[in-house]
Amino acid sequence: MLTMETPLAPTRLELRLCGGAHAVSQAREAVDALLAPHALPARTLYRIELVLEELHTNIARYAFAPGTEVQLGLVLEVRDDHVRIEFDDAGRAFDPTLATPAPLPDTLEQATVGGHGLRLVRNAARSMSYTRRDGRNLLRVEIARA
Amino acid sequence: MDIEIGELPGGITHIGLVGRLDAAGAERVGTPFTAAVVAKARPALVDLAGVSFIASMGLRLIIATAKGMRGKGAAFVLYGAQPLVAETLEQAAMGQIVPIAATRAEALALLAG
Repeated sequence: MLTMETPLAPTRLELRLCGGAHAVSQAREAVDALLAPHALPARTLYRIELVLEELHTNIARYAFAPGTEVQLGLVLEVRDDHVRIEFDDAGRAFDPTLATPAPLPDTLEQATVGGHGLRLVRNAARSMSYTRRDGRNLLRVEIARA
Repeated sequence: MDIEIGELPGGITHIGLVGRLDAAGAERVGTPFTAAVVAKARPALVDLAGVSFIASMGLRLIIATAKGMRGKGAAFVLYGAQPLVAETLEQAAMGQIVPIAATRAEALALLAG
């Protein structure tokens, strides 16, 4: 008797990205393609996109001196109960797990125009860890599957 | 990211945003959005129903616009956000900063109030 084996969907991708906004778009397409067979909830996919967007924006805008070519590594891995995203860059040291987001405002006057990205990442993440090794920032973010 | 600029009766500016309000989207619509809303300094409604995703650079654009409108004494109301976009707005306490309505009718009522 013949049996049909369902091929396993890929669970991991690894990308090298530059700093431009188009790099996020390219990464998102690759991530969407990887995640599509895994049928993750819409909220989880949204959180993954937020983390990709915010951390790429942060590295591209702040990690490198003006005029320096921005390069970063991205690894995304689908695991049993979470999705793991790792960023790797050779920019200036910055540990986002230690940074404190500004307090939430009660009024428009109190509101700061910027500084929201880190809060969004923290809200999206189940956990975050940071290591500085050999002159590189290594940031790991885990997002619960459901 | 696309922006549709119109006018409602009573001299109200109506803006429809469509697409992703991420860093690239905010950069694309930032100048026309500010010109249509803050520079005119008239009451403005912003329809977010077509926005599928918002990130911090989109929040930045909205807060800067709200501050600009406050400086000119003009009302500014958001409405129609999809659920996941609405959650992101809540995480930044946007409801404390800008009036947010579910529908255009509610948004118009907030403007009138």
